[in-house]
Amino acid sequence: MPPKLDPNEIKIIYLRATGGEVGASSALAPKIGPLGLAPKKVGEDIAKATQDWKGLRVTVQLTIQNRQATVSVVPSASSLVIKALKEAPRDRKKEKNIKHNGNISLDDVIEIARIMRPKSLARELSGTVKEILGTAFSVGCTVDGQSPKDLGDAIDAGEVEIPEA
Amino acid sequence: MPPPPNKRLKPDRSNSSLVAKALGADSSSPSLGGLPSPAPSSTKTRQRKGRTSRLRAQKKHNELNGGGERVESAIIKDQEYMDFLEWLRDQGCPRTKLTLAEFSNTGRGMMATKDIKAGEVIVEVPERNLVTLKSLQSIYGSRITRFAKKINSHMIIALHIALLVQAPEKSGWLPYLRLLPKKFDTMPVRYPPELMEILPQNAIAHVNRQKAKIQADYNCTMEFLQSNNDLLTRPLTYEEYEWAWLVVNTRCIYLESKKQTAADNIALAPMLDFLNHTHDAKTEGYFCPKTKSYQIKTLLPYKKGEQVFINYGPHDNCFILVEYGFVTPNNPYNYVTVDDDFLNLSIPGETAVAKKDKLELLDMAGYLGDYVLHRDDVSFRLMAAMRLRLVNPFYKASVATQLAIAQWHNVVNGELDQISPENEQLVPVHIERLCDQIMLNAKHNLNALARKKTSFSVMHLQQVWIETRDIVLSIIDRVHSQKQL
Repeated sequence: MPPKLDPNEIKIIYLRATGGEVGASSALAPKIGPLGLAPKKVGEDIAKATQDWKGLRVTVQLTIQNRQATVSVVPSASSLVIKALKEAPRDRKKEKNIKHNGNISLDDVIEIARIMRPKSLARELSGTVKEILGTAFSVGCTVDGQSPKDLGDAIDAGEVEIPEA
Repeated sequence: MPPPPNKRLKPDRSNSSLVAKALGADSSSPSLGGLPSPAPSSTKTRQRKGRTSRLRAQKKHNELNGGGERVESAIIKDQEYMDFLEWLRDQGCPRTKLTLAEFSNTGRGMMATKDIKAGEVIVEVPERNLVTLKSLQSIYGSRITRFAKKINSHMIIALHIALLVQAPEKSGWLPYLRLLPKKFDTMPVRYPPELMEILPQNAIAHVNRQKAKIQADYNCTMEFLQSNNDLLTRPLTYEEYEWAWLVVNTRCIYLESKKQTAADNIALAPMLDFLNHTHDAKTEGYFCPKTKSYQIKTLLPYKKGEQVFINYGPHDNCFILVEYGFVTPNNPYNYVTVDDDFLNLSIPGETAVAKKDKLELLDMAGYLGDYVLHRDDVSFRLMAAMRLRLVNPFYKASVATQLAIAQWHNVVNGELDQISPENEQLVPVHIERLCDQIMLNAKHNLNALARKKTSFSVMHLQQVWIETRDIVLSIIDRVHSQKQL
């Protein structure tokens, strides 16, 4: 108990939530209710903190310090790619199996790669860019009008230049 | 807020300290700054810039920036501190941008002698200066392994300090030992009984746990010394050991190591332990394997002449008071524990059997105890428990009760918002009754404190009770304005 600067005093909970929406408290209550936090209030805080990500599934980090929670969004490659597509917000309840067949620019991809750089294990930024291209492929969108896969091959072949950092 | 609490009391040796004129903006001395500054003349005359003019400018600056709360500070440059600095240099500690100073609001603390940027390392303690279980193993070595019981690091570090104090000249740690506080009178463990009873209920329980721990560690230490009495120059008394234990308690830091358990992750770090705590300081502490030293990085910038703070952790004032012996103003982590008041609250129409059953039910659901009030916020645990308490009549066998219990589980799991509208209406009424009781208690204790002779302990307790009163008032306000709890 007494040591100063003990990192274990801060609890961190991760959960997936739909941006800008107040989720069901039943998802939160078993996790944070016993800690004394009101699920409803935290749910509203999450909705507020994810306003920029309306309608997208994002990972949310709850930092709990001495019975007080702060909410932050953990950037993930797929959320960032979908955000870059700038689709109109959709009602997830009405539309099922949403497809993302838009197009983003390579600059967008490099920008996302820079955000994801600390998480990536790649040695160079071009490696991280290729990781993001892989995510774009799985999301189903195109990059600069091409298939992300082709662009990845082009980077390998040295036809497309990626900045150092 | 000094890590060594009684430093605020400036024990016995403050007379000897040569208080030098401080640096920076906050430092003008009040006796010199009292002269009214002349009205600025419109004719252009050449202004002389002497000491008085500087002091006036400084005073003006302070009034503009500091507002009502001005912090006076003075650098401490006594022989003991100089010796300590020299000792640190000999030990290979890198120079810092910090110096020891006396502050009017916190007592002793560390002042920045230069501007400090955000992200800068403010203090660095080399590995060999850290007192840890591992470093002590090389001194006591086989004695520890030969001893039958398990030795925790708090106990052994405290013993080490106590032994060093018995023979300070031999140890080579004299400059550090001389700077340690002489007494721990502001620590609740050392409170006289008449102050003890004014502590909040959760603090009393906390102090009792601490006392038991000191006693257990002392007993274990005595056993250890029985087989190793060559270590002692004279018998170790309980008071001496308690002092050393509190030195460790108020000054140790967390040091991560993979092999040891959580309780053994503590270390005593000279120099670093002069840094005070505020809740809004943003710091990172870590062991840097590259330089082989423990470093603290600040994420906030500091100006020359300001006090540099670190953040001990997200603690409320009760915790800080019991563990470190001080309180901080405007602490956002404060809360009021209402366990006893809740359990003793009589609810009309509730039988003793029903109460027992309900408490059992709460225990099974993991919602027994730890009921708190925050500013403008009643904890979810207390709300859940109150909702169940207000299910009346309550007969375990009856269908209606079973239905209510099922509803209650749904509320706790977030499936529903309330058990029933009638139940939900009663909740604020009884929360207010609970608040009224605590209000009475707070008023009673504040009156009792007002009659006591002023001391740091009384002031700390006063602040704790004033904060308690304010939190409770904020809840009562919410109930009256019919806002959601």
